[in-house]
Amino acid sequence: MGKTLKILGFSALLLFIIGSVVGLFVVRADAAMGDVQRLMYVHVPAAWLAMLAFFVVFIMSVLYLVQRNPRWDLIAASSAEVGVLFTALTLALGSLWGKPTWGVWWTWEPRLTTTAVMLMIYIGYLAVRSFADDPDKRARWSAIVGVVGFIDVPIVYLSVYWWRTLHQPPSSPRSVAPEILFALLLNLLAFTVVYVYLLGRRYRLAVNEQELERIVAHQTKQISHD
Amino acid sequence: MTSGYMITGYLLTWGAIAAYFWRLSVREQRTRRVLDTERSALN
Repeated sequence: MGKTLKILGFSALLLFIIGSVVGLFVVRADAAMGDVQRLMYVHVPAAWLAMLAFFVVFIMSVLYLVQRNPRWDLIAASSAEVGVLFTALTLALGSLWGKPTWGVWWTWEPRLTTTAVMLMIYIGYLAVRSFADDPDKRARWSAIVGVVGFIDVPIVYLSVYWWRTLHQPPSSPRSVAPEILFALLLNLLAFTVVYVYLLGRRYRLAVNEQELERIVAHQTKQISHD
Repeated sequence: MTSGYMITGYLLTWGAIAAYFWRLSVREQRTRRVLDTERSALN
């Protein structure tokens, strides 16, 4: 696992640098929005990866509830933490993009509001984990939150179609220039590798934390017996 | 004019990912150290 993670980490760094250079210096600035449009190459991948991270939480939570294998719980928890990072980043970058284009840092329009709700749900997921001392209860409760909380993720995606307010619908190959699409896909790849790498690192930490917890519980049991 | 927002956004992205990576490394080192101590105490 260590060697694979090292290779992943190096690839993530390299792709991230190339993606940023292409987004910042190679692709031409948008004629209407100017340089601020370049935020698309980090804002959109961050949003996609946040949704992917929570999809992983959903799948792993379902698997845990069916099989009760602690591994699925640890992967779900790891993915939730990385997902919270990407969601917070999505909101911050969207705010930075919104100010010069919409004239406001924040507005309670459907896409922004449902994304903020998504962030709160997964912060809640992590809070549930920190409240429960018993590993089985922790895994079961958070798996339930991981399944129920996922309801908001498709709502975030579909909000721009359902309500058609300020936030634009997702860009498609037909609606953007090929060079913009290339920069977007390159950065999406870079963010995906970064996500997989961070997930792997967080999972490794979770495995160690679980073992430590088991040892401490064993010692506490022995002390109480003595 | 808008390049300030763009630069802030990229710095924020790099900074957030680097900060999380650093935090993970610190937590991993600390957990490993405690785990090694506990394992040797068990033996």
